[in-house]
Amino acid sequence: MSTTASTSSNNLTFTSIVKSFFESYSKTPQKLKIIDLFLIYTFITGVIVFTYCCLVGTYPFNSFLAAFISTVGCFVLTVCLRIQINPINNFGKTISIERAFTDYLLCNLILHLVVFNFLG
Amino acid sequence: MMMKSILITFIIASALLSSVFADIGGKRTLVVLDDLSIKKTHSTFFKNLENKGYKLQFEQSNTKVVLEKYGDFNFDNLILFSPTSESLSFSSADVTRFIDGGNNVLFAGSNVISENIRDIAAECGMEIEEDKTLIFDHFNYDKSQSDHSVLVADQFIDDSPIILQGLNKPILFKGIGHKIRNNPLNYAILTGSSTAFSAKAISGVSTKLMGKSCGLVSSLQARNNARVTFSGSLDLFSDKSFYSKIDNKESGNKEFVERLVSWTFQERGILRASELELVKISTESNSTVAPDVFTIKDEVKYSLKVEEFDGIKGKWVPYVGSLQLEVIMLDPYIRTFIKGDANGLYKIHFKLPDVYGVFTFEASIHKSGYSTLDHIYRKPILPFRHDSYERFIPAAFPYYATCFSMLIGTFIFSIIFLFNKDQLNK
Repeated sequence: MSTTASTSSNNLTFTSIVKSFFESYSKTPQKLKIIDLFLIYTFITGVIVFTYCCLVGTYPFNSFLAAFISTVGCFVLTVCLRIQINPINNFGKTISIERAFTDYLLCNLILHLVVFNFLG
Repeated sequence: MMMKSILITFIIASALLSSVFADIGGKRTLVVLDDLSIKKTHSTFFKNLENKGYKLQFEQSNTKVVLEKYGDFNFDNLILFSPTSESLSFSSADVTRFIDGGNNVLFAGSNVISENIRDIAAECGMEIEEDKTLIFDHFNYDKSQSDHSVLVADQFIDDSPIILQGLNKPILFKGIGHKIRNNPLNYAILTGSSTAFSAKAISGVSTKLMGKSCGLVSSLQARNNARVTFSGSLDLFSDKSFYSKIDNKESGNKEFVERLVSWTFQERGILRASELELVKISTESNSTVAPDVFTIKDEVKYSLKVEEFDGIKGKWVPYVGSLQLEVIMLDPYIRTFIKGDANGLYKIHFKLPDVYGVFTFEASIHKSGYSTLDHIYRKPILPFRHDSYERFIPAAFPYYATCFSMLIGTFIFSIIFLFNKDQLNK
């Protein structure tokens, strides 16, 4: 504990911060890493959709909303899943991974029903 | 039983027919006179009316005459040439009801005017000057006489040519003035010139009325298109006035009176609308709805025929002018002016607003001197049905792609997530 405090106080450069981030991130379980990857994917898609809308205009506004809601919704649901199965949060005693994942799938089903209704 | 029903049908049909024909240009006229000698001094005026087919019924002012019976009026026009008599058999309320029934009134004043006539004039937006006053003008008077109250008047109404039909000969006028209320329904048909003023006939003490606000002859066209005309001079309608001369040239009195009276008795300037056609030409909605159901943003054609009544021919002729069309739902969403063609047809193509609701298509003509025309038609404009929107727009393809990529992404993520053997250390 004391060593980390001393290093951070000594050289708080950008590279050292990034390095320590990746060091500690490598300790996260693989399942969470997969989730993080998917989160990045949904986030980038959302940004692309929004930029496209800014460039082309809001003409099929409902389609834009459907696409944007789809990305945002996926992102939020996946974040929720990540919170529930993360061991640090100690949800494991009340909510099992299987239960959390089933909830996640069910919510996704509802989300995509809404999205595809709205898309037309 | 059979006979009875046929008889009843016949009676109803004839009643309906008579009510239809009594509508415009009615000729039954009641003439109320102070004294029957007016019939002789004004004989040309009355003869002209009779020649045009008016059925005149002369009554002395104190004779009991019933204007209205069971909501039906016995006359279409009323000529009140009894300015002085206090014993008029009907009150100003009766006359007001007569006007409210859509009938026309012509009345004239003289040196002394009874309360009854004053009340009627006040109801019609004209405030007659005090008794024993006259309009004087020291510049525009008949030079052949020394009397400065015999005016050579030429300040005719000029913004409604239908009334006097372009009369420009000056007329001789001697009579009492009146103030005209500032009201779009009132027409100052003849006023004094800017040097005219109203003054006591004997003492010459002037009253407050002067200049162009001295009304000599004015009219009211009520909201129900009944027309009321008041002249400050009863002598204007007399034979003497008809054949009077100004500087050895014929005065315009006869023509003025003829045109004034024929307008007042609705021989012209009456409008009606018919043959409304409101058709959908094209639609932006993709579904196949019935052709008479309007949806938002439809392209429609609006066509209306407007005719005006020609009292001389006794028939309706096309009215060529301008018509205002409004498409209203609380606020006017569209307001346009349509020019009429030679057949009196007013046609326009336009796009319905992008708002749904019950809309009023209101065509109106408010032209001074003409009867007001308001043609109202209501029709709902529906929103697009769920299946009438455009689908598969090219601009939306990236959005479709996004949604599918999210779906497939979730699917692939689920497989990887489920088959991942890594245990979360608790």
